[in-house]
Amino acid sequence: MAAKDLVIWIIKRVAIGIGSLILVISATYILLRYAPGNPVQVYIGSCLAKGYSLLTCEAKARQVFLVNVTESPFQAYLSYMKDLVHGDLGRSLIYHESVAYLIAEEIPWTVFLVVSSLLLSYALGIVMGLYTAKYSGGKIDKTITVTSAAIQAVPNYVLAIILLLFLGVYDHLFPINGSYSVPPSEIGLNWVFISNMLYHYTLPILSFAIPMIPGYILSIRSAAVAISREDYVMYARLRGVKSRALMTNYIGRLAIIPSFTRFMYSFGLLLGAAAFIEGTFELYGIGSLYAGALSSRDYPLAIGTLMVIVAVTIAGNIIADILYGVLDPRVRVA
Amino acid sequence: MTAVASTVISRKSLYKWRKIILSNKVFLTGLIIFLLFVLMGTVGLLVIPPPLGKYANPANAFMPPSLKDFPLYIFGTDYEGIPLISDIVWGTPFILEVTALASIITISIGVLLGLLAGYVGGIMDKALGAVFDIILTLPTFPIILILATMIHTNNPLILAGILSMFSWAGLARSVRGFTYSLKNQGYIEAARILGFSTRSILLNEMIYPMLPYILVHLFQDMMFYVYGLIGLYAYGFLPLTTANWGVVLNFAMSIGGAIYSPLGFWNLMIPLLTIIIYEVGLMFMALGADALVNPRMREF
Repeated sequence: MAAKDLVIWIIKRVAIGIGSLILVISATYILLRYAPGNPVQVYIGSCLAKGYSLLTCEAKARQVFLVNVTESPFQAYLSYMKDLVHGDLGRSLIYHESVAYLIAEEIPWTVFLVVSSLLLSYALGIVMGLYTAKYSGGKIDKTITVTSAAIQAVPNYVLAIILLLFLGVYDHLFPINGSYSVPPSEIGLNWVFISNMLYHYTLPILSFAIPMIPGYILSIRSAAVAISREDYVMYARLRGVKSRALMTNYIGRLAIIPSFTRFMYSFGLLLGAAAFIEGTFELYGIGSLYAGALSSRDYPLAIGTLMVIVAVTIAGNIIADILYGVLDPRVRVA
Repeated sequence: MTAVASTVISRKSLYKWRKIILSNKVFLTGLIIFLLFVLMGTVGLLVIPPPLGKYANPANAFMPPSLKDFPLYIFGTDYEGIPLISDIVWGTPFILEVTALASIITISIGVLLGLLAGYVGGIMDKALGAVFDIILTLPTFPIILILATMIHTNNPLILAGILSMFSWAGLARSVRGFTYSLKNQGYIEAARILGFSTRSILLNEMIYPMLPYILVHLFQDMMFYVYGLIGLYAYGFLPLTTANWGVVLNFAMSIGGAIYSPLGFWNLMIPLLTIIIYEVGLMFMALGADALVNPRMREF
């Protein structure tokens, strides 16, 4: 019974997710197709300026960009959606490569950046949240809450510029740009490359992670304080369970549950902000790919990237809700 | 008689709120920071001269803060030699304007649809609830990025519309939940039986108790607008033909090359600190407003 409900619930969520994905893609496709200044229009414009006829120019554009330039935006939309169903994301107008290939090349960098920032901030948030939960009430509460709020308020790209300035440019502690600085022959899963890459990603990861830590600290702390007042914790304490075991096994395991959805939901937020952070540190990744596609009006690449971001985010949210149900026995029953 | 009673209540509660706000140091700090920015964007324009080309002088570029011609060079100069204080002060009204417009859009749509879903219920609730849920699962920032780049405008109203396009959904969902729980409270039912109009019930008995929640949402959303707006300008997604802190940052990084020259320190730090202080002010107001809602946090 419960399993059947879960399956129906998942199917419903996935269907709604696909529906909203189609809605977003359709709206942006139409917007981008009507917006002036995309590379095909620029190419045809400059070709016309050279004195060629419209017919020749369209034929040339078709050769260069491999798109059907004569069809109306609505026809173009229909054929784009048809290709999409077959898994074809189209071709980039500036890189002259398949969009799927470009995204597949860039996405691992961003996933690495976002996932490691999330894990780092979550881990630090758990440790610091549980640690500070021991000291609650009065002045300490106030200090922790206010300091956390102030740190949380700093935009991640502002922090990125500050870290780059102080630790990269002035102190030369960390590299100032690029995802790695080893010769191409060294690239691969070897220690030299990984350590070099981690060195390059330290500042970007910190810029994402630091403003997120306070949110986890506050959430875990308040949950831990509330749980530590429960009868079973009191009983365990009277039974003589050690304070450390009490914190990790009795309180910690439950206290991290409420912040778990925040953890999963942040994924989509960071994918969007990746355009800023990857721009600041000149990293490879889907954020800089997206920013480049937008500024050059490369609409197949921009929509393809957006679609991947939206799909990953929606999928992440669905998985978050399922895992939340698995983790929290109270939701499991309901 | 009821009129007299209600004025007594409202005066009493106004006094209560004033007392809570004054005793709430965090909220007060945030409010003072915010009001200082409002002053900067209004009165400041009368005091500080606009960042005109007559100040531009390569010999004065990247000057550190000094007391020369007080207060003109108090923040130093940018890469062109224009006093940074003029850049910052004259960049404030645009930020305030977009933030205010976006807040109005978010609050009006969010409260209206939330009340509609929660109060009317039934099929309306189901339909609107589904819309809220769909919007809340979307990665809104990449969509805002694409819209801002494609529409490419400096019109504050359009920018406010883009920035607040999705943020009303969170507010609407909270208002809906709140309305739903309030609707079945005894005193609302009593007011209905006593013949109060629906409008008066909605305004006095439902929206009024929700105000602190709405404020918390408002300040958090305002933080997001500033984050998005300045980011879009600083990284060049919007036309750089207007004056605001994001444009100052963009020019310092792209034209001024301030990152790679130790001279550019103040040209970067002044706009960055301005942004941080503004965001911290909003955050403190959100945190303080939380204390208005949650009596357990009133010790602050």
